[in-house]
Amino acid sequence: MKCNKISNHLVAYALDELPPRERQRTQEHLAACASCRARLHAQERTLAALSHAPAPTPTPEMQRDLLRRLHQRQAEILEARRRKQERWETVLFGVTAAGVSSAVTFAGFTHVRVLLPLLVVLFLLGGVTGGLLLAMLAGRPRRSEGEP
Amino acid sequence: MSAVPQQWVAGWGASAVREPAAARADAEAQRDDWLMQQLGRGAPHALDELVRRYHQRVFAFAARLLGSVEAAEDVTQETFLRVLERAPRYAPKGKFAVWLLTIAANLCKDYRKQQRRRAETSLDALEGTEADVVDVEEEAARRLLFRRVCEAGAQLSHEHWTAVVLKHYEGFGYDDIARVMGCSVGTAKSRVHYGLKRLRELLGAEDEMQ
Ligand SMILES: [Zn+2]
Repeated sequence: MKCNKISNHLVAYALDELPPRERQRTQEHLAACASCRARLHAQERTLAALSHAPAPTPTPEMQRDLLRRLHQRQAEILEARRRKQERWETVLFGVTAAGVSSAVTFAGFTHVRVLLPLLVVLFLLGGVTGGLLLAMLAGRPRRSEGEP
Repeated sequence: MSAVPQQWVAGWGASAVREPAAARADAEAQRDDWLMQQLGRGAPHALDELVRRYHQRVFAFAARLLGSVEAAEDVTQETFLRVLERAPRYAPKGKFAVWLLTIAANLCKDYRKQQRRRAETSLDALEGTEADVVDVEEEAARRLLFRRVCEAGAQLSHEHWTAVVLKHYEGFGYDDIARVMGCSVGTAKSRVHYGLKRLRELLGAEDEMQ
């Protein structure tokens, strides 16, 4: 193999990612070629330099600041969610009340034998719709609460 | 949580008896997913625990990518704010850390774009960030090394340096690097290799001069 090709393989060689055959051919070339050996050492020194460079650590104040901002934002999000739910509940109540009152008005003009089953159906529909809406508003699926 | 996440049921290599390290990683992953579920429901304790678990990691990741502690602080804060906002819609599809660092990596990319527009770097801000300074001389040498590494990284394209940081410091496999960077596994691999080769030329050349 030519030095050029080996040079491109040195990272994979240093990371131990070469397939066995190519690894062996690279080793053979390295044994015979001083300049490629020097390049390999430079590559290994580079990886070592990366490893020895320390991880920057946030200060305790940074963590306090971060938590303060996050809790503030969380409170805002929860408040917005609560308001939205209240709005929906109001709408739902209004729709149900309107349905019931118009049914009652309708009752004034229609024979009771027609109306009674109709009222029952209306209440059932209202109940089912209301239940579904509330379930949607509650939003989150009921999953296992257990803490791992 | 009793349910076994999908990614461990399907796929090859899932053995009944797991290595202790793998079992620990599984438990950690379950904990992350559970915390995100709790956060989605508005639990404040989940927020505290997620910050305890990942603040250092996100901060170090951003500081390495951007070579600046101030920038890292901004990006870290923004990352966690997004985690909080996206928590109700979070679906555990892969590792939480991959999802988290994808957010951070994208924010770093935006930051670096803006920074290039303003053409300012603040590596000096790295002074005095380590909380536990034991040996001043050794600490100074380590900081100097950090600066050198970040300066060399800044000479790579942002993609190459991100790929190197994900591989070398986060220990991500090429598949996870590809997920974070939104590229193919082959591209992720060639970015890591090219980045490390360039660093060899940049850092290795300095070594030879010394
Ligand atoms: Zn050679």
